Amino acid sequence: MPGPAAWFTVLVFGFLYLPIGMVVANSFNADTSLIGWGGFTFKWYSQTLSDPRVRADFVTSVEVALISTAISLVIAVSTGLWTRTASARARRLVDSTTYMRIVLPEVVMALALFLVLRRYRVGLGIPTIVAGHVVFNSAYATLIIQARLATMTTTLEQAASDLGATPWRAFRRVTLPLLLPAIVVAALLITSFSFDDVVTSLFLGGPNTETLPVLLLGLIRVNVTPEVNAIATGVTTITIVSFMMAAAVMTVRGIAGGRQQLGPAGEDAA
Amino acid sequence: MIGRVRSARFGHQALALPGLLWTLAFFLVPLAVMVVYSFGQIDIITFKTSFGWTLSNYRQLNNSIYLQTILRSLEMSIGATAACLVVGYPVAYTIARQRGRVQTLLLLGIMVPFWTSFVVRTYAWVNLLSADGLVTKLLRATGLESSSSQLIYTPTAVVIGIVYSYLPLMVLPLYVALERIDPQLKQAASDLGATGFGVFRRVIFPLSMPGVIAGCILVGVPATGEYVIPAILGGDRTLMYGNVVASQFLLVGDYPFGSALAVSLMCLVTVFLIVARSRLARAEDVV
Amino acid sequence: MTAATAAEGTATAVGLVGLERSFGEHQAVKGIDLEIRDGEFFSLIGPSGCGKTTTLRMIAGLETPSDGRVFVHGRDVTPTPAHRRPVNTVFQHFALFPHLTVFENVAFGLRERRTPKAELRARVREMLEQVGLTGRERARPKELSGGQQQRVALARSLVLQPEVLLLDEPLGALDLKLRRQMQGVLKQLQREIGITFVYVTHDQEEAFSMSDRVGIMNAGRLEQVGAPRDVYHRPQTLFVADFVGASNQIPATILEGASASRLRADLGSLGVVEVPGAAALAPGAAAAAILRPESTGPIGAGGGVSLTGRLVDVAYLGPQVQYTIDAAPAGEVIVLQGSQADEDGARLGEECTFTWPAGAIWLVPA
Repeated sequence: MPGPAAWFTVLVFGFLYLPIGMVVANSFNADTSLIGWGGFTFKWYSQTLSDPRVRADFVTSVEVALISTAISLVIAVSTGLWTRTASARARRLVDSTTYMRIVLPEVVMALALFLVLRRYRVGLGIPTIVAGHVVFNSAYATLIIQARLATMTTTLEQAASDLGATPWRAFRRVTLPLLLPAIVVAALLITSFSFDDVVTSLFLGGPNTETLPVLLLGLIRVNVTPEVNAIATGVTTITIVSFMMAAAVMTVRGIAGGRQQLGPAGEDAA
Repeated sequence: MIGRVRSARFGHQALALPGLLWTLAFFLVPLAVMVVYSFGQIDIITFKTSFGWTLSNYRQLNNSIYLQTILRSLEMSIGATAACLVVGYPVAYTIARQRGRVQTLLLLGIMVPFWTSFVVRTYAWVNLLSADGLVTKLLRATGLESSSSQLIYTPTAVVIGIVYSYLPLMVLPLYVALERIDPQLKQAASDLGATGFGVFRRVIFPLSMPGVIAGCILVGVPATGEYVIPAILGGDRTLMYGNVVASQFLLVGDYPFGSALAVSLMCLVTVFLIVARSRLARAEDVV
Repeated sequence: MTAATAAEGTATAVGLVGLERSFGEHQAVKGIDLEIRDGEFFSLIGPSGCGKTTTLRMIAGLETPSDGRVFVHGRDVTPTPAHRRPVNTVFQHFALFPHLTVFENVAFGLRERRTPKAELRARVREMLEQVGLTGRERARPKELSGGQQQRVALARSLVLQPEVLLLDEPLGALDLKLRRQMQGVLKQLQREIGITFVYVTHDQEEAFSMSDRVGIMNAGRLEQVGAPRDVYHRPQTLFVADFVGASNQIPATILEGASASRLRADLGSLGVVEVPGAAALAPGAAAAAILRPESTGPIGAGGGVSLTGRLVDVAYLGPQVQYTIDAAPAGEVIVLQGSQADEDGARLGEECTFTWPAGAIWLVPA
């Protein structure tokens, strides 16, 4: 017999899903004033998809997300590999900078960067947004990569070295394949974080560069139109799909190394 | 040491460089610059900044209406954290008591809203809390709200928004802590005569402390610096610390004062973290 | 000592000269000089922490010496990094690449050398046949048993035809029966292939059963090197005597009047004996007389030692019976004798006497 806590949980779930459900529902609502239900329609979506500003902002968001993810992953993997064999003190120092980047309010980080950029008269745009995103994204990615590396001793790399592989070849043939699941999870996660980011994108984008969430924020503050629901649903779908894929990769243990071995006839001497 | 080995070691040390350089250039140096600015002063007419070592910005902070806003915003984040705890605890408790498939589904269910876009999550409440929104209507019907007011653009709305967005961050660590509690301890307490609520109060809740503290950190720290939620749900009337700081930079242009505000926020967060982590360490020791 | 000199006409496969390794304050390896002969099965044995694994890794190139040099077949490989040394290692927990199949694991080093496909395939197949794993090419390491993984690790190293094969406690992860079986496999494999094996283990019996020569290490130093029989019957230090087998010890003092092959020693209440002993012993030195539990026998013309004491324990071990007597001045003395189907009637608390002839006694510095 479910107790009071269980019933309360049901309520909470309703509380969690109702608002978003309404946004999604309203994106198909033909009634412009959104007071009642005006019938099912796709017109808000077709309007959104043909809106040049939305399309431009979508492209900007994707660009920023992909570039900042790539840079963040490079930082995460190199930092993770270094901390694996670093002295305890050095490791603590680097780990604390990782921690700080996650814990410090994004507002402070973004504004500090804004300050420096303004002082040295650096133009704001995609590069500056990317710079800001990488600061916190690389920290999340580093944590994920470090967690995976913690289960991998250096013995396998030593074996590779013993068998004739240079440090770079050992990394490419042994370390990287084993790290691949963690890299994929990290990539999916931080791409979502970047795509969804408002504060840094807003402050460091300047007057000429707008990402989709920034557009959304503007629309919400100024004038709530039904089109907003369509954009919102679209953005939400992208982030949900990303996270779900990450969750799927994390739970599917079968993919041990990412590279499918084709057997004796397969791999050429790469 | 042999030359070749030495260069290999150097190559390995170079791995730390990308992260360190980026963190230095785009994180540490900007923060340091901000601290320097906080001790500077702006000329209102020419908008040029002079760098003395003055505390005037901090004093200004202390004496102004900004202080009121800041204190109220802290109230709100504390309130939101407490609300998250009260709402999240029963949920975490229920999930911890489930087994296998049901438990996984419930956990997934808590995470999915968290995977939706942050802006969207907050925006979802604009409609609900506006003058003819569902929630407002509901509250009017139950008499909690007068017929003319609306819930949006009030501190309450902001708190609701924060709780809504950050709830999963409270539920997850609570769930983890509750899961770890040995069921035999509950049985032992019952065996020794404790009733349902007594068992909870004297055994379960204390043992879940690490989760409670972790959840409060995960919610409280970002909530203090929140910008988006007050911007959307608070309108111009309910500003939080984050909005105040941002407006100094983006609207007013008073960089030194803005820097002082930001640095104070940083210090506040740091102090909170230090205290919270030591509490966490002590709580974990016991468990 | 030149690392390239021949000993008894055999070439030196591995030469270590003044090899040292320190980790901060702690000196793990303190000045090792060693020549391992071409084609021999050599074991480095010693208790945990004695530095044997560190020494092995310095030969492999996985550790850099703090001082000293490593030679392989006369060439100084000390500055050469691990991936260019003509030696290969079989690791303690096999270190098989989990994301590669058995075939790809064994082929790993060959691929690094850009071996042409046809030759690569042939060599891998041949190696797998030699270790008895034909038909398992497509399996992943986690699908294999411990013994099979062991053989993949061996194949992976041997297929590269190294000049020396290094083995770091490779049988440690296997259960007893499998260990014994693999010991036989390794010994036979080494004989067939003829490569020098350098084997590290803490298990004295294992090392003795497989090796041509052993080196005993203690706290970073090499205490003795020799054939198992030599090391067992003629240990040069007390540590070695203790490490290679159970020993009863009697305090002794060396006296004047040694002969060519024997030393004169005063064993206190047990009298003066003329028995063989370690080379380092000189008159006046403090020594210990080693009496092995299994070497009891009648005292003949050469003299010997007789120990009498109360029987405090009898343990039936299967092939042997172990008696423990309390005999001054030696303290608790252990004796092993072959067991019979019927009990021999010795009862606890009774006085028993055991004797060792002079030839079965050995002196080491105390």
